[in-house]
Amino acid sequence: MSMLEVRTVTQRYGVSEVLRDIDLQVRAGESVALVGPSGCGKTTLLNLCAGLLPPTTGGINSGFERTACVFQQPRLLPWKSALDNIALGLKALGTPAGERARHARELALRMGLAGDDLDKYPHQLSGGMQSRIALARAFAVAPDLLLLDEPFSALDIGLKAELHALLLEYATTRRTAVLMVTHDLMEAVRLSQRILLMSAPEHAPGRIVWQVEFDRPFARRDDAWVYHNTAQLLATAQVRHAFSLAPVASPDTGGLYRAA
Amino acid sequence: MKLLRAWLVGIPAYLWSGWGAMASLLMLVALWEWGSQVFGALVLPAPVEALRTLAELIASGAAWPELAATARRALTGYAASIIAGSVLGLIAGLSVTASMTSRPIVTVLMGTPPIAWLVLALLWFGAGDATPVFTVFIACFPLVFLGAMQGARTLDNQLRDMAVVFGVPRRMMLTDVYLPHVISYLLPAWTAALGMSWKIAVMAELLSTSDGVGAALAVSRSHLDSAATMAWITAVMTLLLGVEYLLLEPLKREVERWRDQVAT
Amino acid sequence: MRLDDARRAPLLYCGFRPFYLATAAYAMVALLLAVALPMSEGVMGGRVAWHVHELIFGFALASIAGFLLTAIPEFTSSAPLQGRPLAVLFAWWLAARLGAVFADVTGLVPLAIASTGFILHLLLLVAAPAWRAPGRQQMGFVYALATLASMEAGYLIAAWRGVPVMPWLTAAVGVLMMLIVISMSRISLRLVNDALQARGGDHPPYLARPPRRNLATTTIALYTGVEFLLPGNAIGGWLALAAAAAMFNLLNDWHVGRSLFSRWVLPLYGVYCCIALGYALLGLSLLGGWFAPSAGRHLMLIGGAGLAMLIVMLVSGRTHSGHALDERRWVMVAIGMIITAALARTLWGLLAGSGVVVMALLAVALGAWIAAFALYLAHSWRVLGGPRPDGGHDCSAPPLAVVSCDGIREHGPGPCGAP
Repeated sequence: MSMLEVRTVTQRYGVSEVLRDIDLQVRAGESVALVGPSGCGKTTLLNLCAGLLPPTTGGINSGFERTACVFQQPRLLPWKSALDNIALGLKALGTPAGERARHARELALRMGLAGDDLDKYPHQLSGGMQSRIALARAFAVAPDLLLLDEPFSALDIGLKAELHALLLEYATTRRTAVLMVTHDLMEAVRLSQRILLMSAPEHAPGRIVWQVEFDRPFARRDDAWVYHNTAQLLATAQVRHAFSLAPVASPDTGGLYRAA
Repeated sequence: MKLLRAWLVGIPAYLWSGWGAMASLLMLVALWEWGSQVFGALVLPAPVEALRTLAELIASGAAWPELAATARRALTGYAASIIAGSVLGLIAGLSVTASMTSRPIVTVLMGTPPIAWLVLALLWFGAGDATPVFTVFIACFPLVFLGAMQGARTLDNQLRDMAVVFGVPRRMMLTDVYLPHVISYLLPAWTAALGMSWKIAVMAELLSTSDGVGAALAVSRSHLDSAATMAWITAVMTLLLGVEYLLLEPLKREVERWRDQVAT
Repeated sequence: MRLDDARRAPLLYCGFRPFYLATAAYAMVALLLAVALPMSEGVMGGRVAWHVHELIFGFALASIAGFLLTAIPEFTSSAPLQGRPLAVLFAWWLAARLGAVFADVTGLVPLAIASTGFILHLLLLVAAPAWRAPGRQQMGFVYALATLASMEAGYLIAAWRGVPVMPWLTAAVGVLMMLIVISMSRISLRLVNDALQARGGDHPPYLARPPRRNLATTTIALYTGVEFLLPGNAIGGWLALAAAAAMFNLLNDWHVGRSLFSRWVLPLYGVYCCIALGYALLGLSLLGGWFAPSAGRHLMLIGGAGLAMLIVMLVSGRTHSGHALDERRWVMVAIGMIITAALARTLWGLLAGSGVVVMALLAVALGAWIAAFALYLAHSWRVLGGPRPDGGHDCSAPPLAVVSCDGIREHGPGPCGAP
């Protein structure tokens, strides 16, 4: 069965330990969010999953066939047109030029890019367009695991909502597994079935301290539901502690609760 | 192929944009004319005079062998310097140790006056082609080397990581991710080195050979023939402008189209 | 609206109306007078000087006045000159022409008073709003006009003292060229972009970029200065070639694809080409001495200045009196006539002989010039002297694209296209 499995991974850079005893699974079609404050090792964990780093100890097994990644910055090749950037992954897979151009164009138009923008170079496009292209580049290779490293954090709320919708539509129709890193709780509530909370208090190595699951299908997650559950999360002691927020006088919901 | 077609389509517009350069060069010629009127034809011959002398040199067949000799030496030294400079510079740039070690050496090479290299070359190789070629090579090499090293040092790790995640194969990594970046550092260095190679070649010929533009300049100096001097200078400048603006600059524009599409 | 607006004669609604009429009429009259008027060598510096003076300070300055009195209020959002004050300004111009025609009888004084009076009055009318406008972007016109005024003063003093007057007049030609380069950039911005929009498609807009224009005006100014101080010097020859190259360089902005070949764009392109070739011929004449400088000078004056003025009158004369652009065939015929005149006169200057063919060229040039402006006058006097079709009493021009909406394909946002 295709699954991403991280088993008791510990990661060190030189003498400093950034991650300790991380255990995590992402099953096929599942959407998992890693949330936590800046500097807790979220991005390092994602890079480990992407195979960009070997773990210091522990093991990472990916049964997925094809992994694609969207980074915090668009990371487009400045010397390639928007179209060629979208088709980069396809070119790497050895798809013939004509077919990959056709496929990339089709995908780009579906994602709200205009036809004449596709011949432009990244520096001629707005930040929102660049993010769209980065997302299209990931979709183009038809991945069964999508790794997202805060790809929407620099966008305005309208654009963010639009790209959220594109992502949800793509991931649910193709049953793509998603592992995303974010520090935006609302984004996590909207886009994931499972939220893992990471914390790294006082320069200690980052670890997963808490998790919560949401069963409600994405189609039924309206704004009111998202706000309500985000507010609930923010009232949780573990979350407040991880983000160094002052505790509130509310009852602890316990280690694991299920939202309606 | 697409590159070639875009290049061909762009030629007329590019050539037309040469009028601006022509206007400023003609103003320089006007200044030259003024100088010759103020200081007299013996000091600075009029542009028309120099052009006439040049036309005579070309008509009599005297110009081409000299220009060809200078071009041969300049381009041989230049070619050697860009090949060696680019390859070694890139290798040095990929290793922090190598770039740390080579930087002071290159600074020393850069700082050494070309005339010093010329004297050494005369001692080592005597009169003949080897002396100007070596001088050109050693003067241009550090320039290209530094450009290549800088290009390799500034490769973007984020883009590399992105390419790795998308499973970009090694060969494509080179052509699609590394080379376009490195070229944008190499081309300016190559252009600068080209201009330098001509200057150095002519200077070296003045002292070391019996043919070439440098040698012809030595002869016209001994005859106090300022018209011929300016004619030779004009010829070399024209050739240099031709090579740079017809060959290197269009190439640079095409390769760096992604940087800035708004032509000025 | 003031009370007397309605009672005002349509001819005085706006500055361009009397002055464009006068430009076209005087284009013909001045040339015929230059050939036929009995005149002594003394008063105005001879027949050639009279011809040059009247075509620059009579013909060309009238069209410049008409253009500036319309354009400057539009560019600076200030009130245009109308009614009686406009009539006063025009009277100055008319008096100056009479002064020139009768100079042999009356002496130089009437011309001197009327001509300087006219230029200074015009300068004042243009300078005030240009200076007050935020950014002072239109001051270039004021400086050019002031320079032209000092050339006229220099000419009058030289004529009065009996010393050569031609340096002042050739310098005025240079200033005129600079004025044309500046004005054409404003006019072309509109005409070229309208042509681009009419063609549709995704084309970057045409921009008349200042750097290239500044290079062109700088080289022309340098040449003009050197020619004035060192007439016949080779330094001027090289600078004339530089000015030619800078003018060709200006055309880089104009290579916008097929829209270049549209009705209102190609003639403007021709103006720049004639000025560029004119300076090239001037430069070659100074450096090689193969032919007289007058060949190049006439190419830039007829094909450059004359054509530019005709186009400006055709465009702003119609739009600012509330009409659509004239899309009839006579426009192209008139433009063709000017170009014919320019080529014939230039060829005559290059051949420089007195054979039958050569004299025929001169007759062709004269006839074509007169025919062009006669055509303009015949088709435009009603527009310039009549009421506005919208019943207004002002200078306002409808946006050009709206005027010619019928022919424009629906494309993109704009007055005609659906947003």
